[in-house]
Order: sequence, then C-alpha cells, then structure tokens
Amino acid sequence: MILGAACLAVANAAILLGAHAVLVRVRVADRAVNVALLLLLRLFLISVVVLLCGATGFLAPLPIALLSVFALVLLAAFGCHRGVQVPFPDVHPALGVFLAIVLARLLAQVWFFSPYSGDALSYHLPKIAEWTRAGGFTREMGLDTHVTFPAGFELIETWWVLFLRHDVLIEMAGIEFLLLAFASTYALASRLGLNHNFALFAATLYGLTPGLHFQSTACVNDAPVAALYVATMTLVASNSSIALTLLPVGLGIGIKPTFCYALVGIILVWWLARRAKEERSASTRATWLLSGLSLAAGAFWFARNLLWYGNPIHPVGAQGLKGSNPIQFGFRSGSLAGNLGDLVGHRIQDASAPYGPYVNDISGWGTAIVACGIIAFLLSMGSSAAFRRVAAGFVGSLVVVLALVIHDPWSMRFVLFFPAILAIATARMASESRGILGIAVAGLGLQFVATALPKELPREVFHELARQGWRERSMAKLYQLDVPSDSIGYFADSRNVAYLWYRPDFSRRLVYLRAETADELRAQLKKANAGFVYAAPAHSNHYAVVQECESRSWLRRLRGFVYAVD
Amino acid sequence: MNLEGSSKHTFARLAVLTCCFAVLAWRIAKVSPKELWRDIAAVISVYCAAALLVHRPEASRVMAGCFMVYLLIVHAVSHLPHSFQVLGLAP
Repeated sequence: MILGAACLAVANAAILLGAHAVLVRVRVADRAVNVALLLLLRLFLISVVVLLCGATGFLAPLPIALLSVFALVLLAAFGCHRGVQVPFPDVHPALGVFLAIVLARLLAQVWFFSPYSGDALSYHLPKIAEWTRAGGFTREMGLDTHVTFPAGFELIETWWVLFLRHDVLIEMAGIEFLLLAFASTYALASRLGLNHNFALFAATLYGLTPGLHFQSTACVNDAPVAALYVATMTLVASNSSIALTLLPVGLGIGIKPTFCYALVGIILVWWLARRAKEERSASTRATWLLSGLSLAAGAFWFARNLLWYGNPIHPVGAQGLKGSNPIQFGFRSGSLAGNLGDLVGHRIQDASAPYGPYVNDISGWGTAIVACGIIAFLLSMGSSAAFRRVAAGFVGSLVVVLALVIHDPWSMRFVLFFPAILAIATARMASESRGILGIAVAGLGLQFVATALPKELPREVFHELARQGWRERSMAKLYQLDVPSDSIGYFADSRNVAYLWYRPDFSRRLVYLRAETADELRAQLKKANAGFVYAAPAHSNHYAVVQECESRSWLRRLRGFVYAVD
Repeated sequence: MNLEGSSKHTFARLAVLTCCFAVLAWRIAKVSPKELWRDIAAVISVYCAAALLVHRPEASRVMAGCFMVYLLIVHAVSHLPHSFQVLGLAP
C-alpha cells in the first residue's frame, strides 16, 4: 500500500507538472482563466494516460509510475519546474476560513463515504473494477443496459483507484471536477465584472449547490458535465480561440451526451460575441493539437461502440431506449413542458425530498441560489449586457437539455450547470448591497448544513460506514452482501449493486451470467466454477429460471438474493 | 438596477419587476391554506417595498431584498426538515 501511495504521489506530481508545462504553451492573458485551464489540462492528461494504458493493456501502477518518473525527469531537465507559482490570493479572511472548512469536509467525505449511489454501483463502477482486475479495458463490463455508455469520467476514477488498488479515494475524481467548477465560476464571475472576493463568493455559492456537491462524492457523472459546461462557457465568454474552447468540449463529449445537448447555449454565446476580438493562446499550433487529442479521446467511446455493436450510441436507438430505465432520443415538447413545469412549479422549492446526488423530484439548487439567485438574475439581466449575453446561453442550454431528456424525477441533475449563473448573479447583487450579502450568506450557511450528508447516507448509515476500517469500508456490509469466496456468479437484469461484490480492493471475481434457461444458468455456473451466486432478476422469465434452479436443487437460497451452488 | 432617469420610466420598470417577482413568488411558494404565515410574509414584504419605493432611490434593491428574505424563509422551511432528518437532528 505504501508503494502504491508513493506511485500515486509521483504520478500526480508528473501530471500536474506536465499540465503546467502545457499551460505555458496554451495560456491566455486572463490569470483566472488560466487556473481553470490548468485543472482542465490535468484532467485531459489523466484521461489520455488512462485511455492509452487501458487500450494497450498497461493499466497497472508500475508502468504508469515508471512513465511518471521518466516524465518528471524530462520536465525537470527542460526546467519546467522553474516557472511554477503556487497562487495564494488575497482572500477575505472569513471567506478563506469558510473555504478551508468546506475543503476539509470534502476530504473527510472522500475518506468516509464509500460508493453508494445506484447508477454508480450498477454500471459506472463495475467497468472500473473489471479494468483494474484485468489491467486494461475489457469487453465484459456488467449486465446493466447502460454499461456501454461513454466512460470519460470513469477514466479519472480509475486513476484514483489504480495505484492503491482500492476505492478509498475514488471520490477524488469528483472533487477534481468540483474544483474545476469552482475555478471556472470564479473566472466567469471575474469576466463579468465581479471583484476578486465576490467572484470567489460566487464560486463558493456554486460549489455548495447541494445537487452538484453531492454528485461530486457519489461517483456519478452529471457534476463533471456541469463543471465542463461552466469551463467551456468561461472560455467562450473570455473570447478564447475556438481551438482552446474545444479542449473541454472533447472531455465533455466523452463523459455524457447531455453535455452535447447543453452546447447549444454555448454556441449561442459564441455567436453573440463573434465580433469581439479573439484572445489568442500562446501557441496556436499546440492548442489545436491538444483540442484534436481531446476530441479524439471523447470520441473514443462512440468509435468503440460503433466497432463492437455497429451503433455509436448503443444501446440507444432512434426510438430511444425502452425498459425499466428508459432514455429519450430527440426533442419532445412534452418533456420540456413537464420538466420546466415541475421545476418552476415545485422542484425549485426542494420540498419533496432530502438532497442527494440524483435530486429526486427537487432541483437541488439550495437556499441561497433559489432565494437570492433568481431575483438577482432578473435584475442583472436588466443592467449588464455582458451578463445578459452569458445568461442567454445558460437559459438556452437549460431549455434545450430539458427538452431532450425524459421527464422523470431525476431530470434536474442534467442541468446542474444552471445554478452557476444564479450564483454569479447573487454575488453580483451582494457586491452592491450589504443587506443582500447578509441574506446570501445566511442562505449559504443553510446550504453548508444541508450538504453534510446525502439522503442515501443518513447519520446512522454514515456512522456504520465510518465505524468500518478504511480497508474494508463498503456498503456491502450494510446490505449483508458477502460470501466466503473470492468469486461469485452474478445474475441480474436491472439496476443493481454489482460493484459491491468486487470488494473495495477488487479482490473478488464477478462472473456475469447471461442465461435464458435453468440449464444454461447451471452450465455457466459450472464453467465459472463459482460456489455462490447473487441472483436478483427483475424480469419474470429470468426469475422463473432461478426458481427452476431452486426446485431442481441446483441453487440453495442462503439469504435474500444470495444462493449457494449445489 | 439603475433607477435614474424619468420618473415615468422608473415607475414602468419597477411595475414590471414587481409583477415578475409577484408571479415568481406565487409560483414558487404555491401557498396552501395551512401556511398562512407565508401569505402574511409576502404581504409585509410587498408593503415594505411599496413604502420604500416612494422615498428611496435604491428601492428596487430593497424590494429585491424583501423578496429574497421571503423566498429564503419559504425555501428553508420547506427543505430544512428533510436535512435535519438526514442529519439525525429532527425531533
């Protein structure tokens, strides 16, 4: 573990120094934008390294650590470490202390939380477990219908589990994107005329947006999409070159198609500001090269799906995706009316449910953003042309995304980028009035309290997790998911908890079973040499298969959905 | 909001803003008969805002502040019980 931690430290140092070296070649004049760019470049380099190592079968700590040492030596030889500056900006003391507390709490959440959210356990994380166990990308990624979706965020998560071969730090991937959201909001707010401390206040308000905050430690990818959206909007609003703007676009495409939906608003802002003078990067050629690589990395998953399944967006077709977790394909006015109506009608009040990463039937925007942001937004629209232009982009993206996603209780997680403009508007008004600053600070305090624990981890559950040692910390114990074996068969046809069976150190092998008859299931279990099986099918024909195996004494129920193979 | 300029222009802008905020607050709050205090808070907010409009140039900001306090209370009362429950602080 010590060697793994050392490899992680070296690899992160190399990536950070490498990102800085690249930044020197693509940076712009605005320092605030460059901070966001540095974080973007770090995420880009990690994505490329994990993608290349995964595709070539070198996804292991040692090859990457050796590569990192080589990169560090090379970067030092070229003197790249000399220009590094650690910025400690002059922050208002109260805000500085508050930010330090938020950061410390985030790190505690990373340490004590263990993957718990449904989508992550069912289809995001099982592929990471398979990749980590195999040392490279695998065709086997699990049984969920969504396993073939783009996995750009999973690349960053893989980075944080690979070296320790343990998922204790996996939430750091989300924190990286939360930092990007913070830095991008700060840069955008600065660009819209806010001074240093109020731009930081805007970024803090957005960073503590409950939906975004909980997504960042839940191993799901809507917060990363939101962060990349704000980063892209910042680059466009800063009149950066198209080449530089394509850097976050490539990363966003590779994470989730909802990012592409939201691009409409960004294109609108670019079009509105097309006559403004372009702010050129230090090297145009280097910027185009980077953006080309970023787009290629984003397109990787679609190309893979085209190659494997003949459809870049498999399993979604022209009719969308049917089943228990349906997906809409294309524009639907009904979805727009439903999503927008629910948002304005009741979700914005956050009254239906506690906060969590999926913002079930709530907006997840939080007290300060809702109470101050909406009114401040209206007032700012009337008084600043620059704000109006950017706000038009945010509103455009909101409308387009809500028209393109199905109207279900979780649809608001796809528009978690929108509170960023409300946070900026709030900080803008707070900078003009001490009274409004007081109201916003009160709202921020409530948001801080509300973002301590997600609804999936109430205090009792959190205590259970915290009581476990970090090596074995997992929700599996709470769900009583354990068998005395290093391999287990897995038979489920709907959203389930596959990832928990791998154990936090990925030491258990999961054999995914795809059987339509009892004989097929028995044959696959024999072939896999698995002594136990987790069988939790939702479809009636699959349930009948399990029942038949039980009646023929091939499976013996131990508890719940756990069976011994006889 | 810049309220300088002709009084007619100022009045028109404030009227539009007031309507916007009123509709917004109504949509968000959707006051139920059991929660009369919200109505009372809204009425007081609007009354204070209207009173201030006549005398203060920064009236729109004050009015906005009143609505913000109103929405803050509405939102906090709607959501905080959920958060307290998650944190184990609910009675």
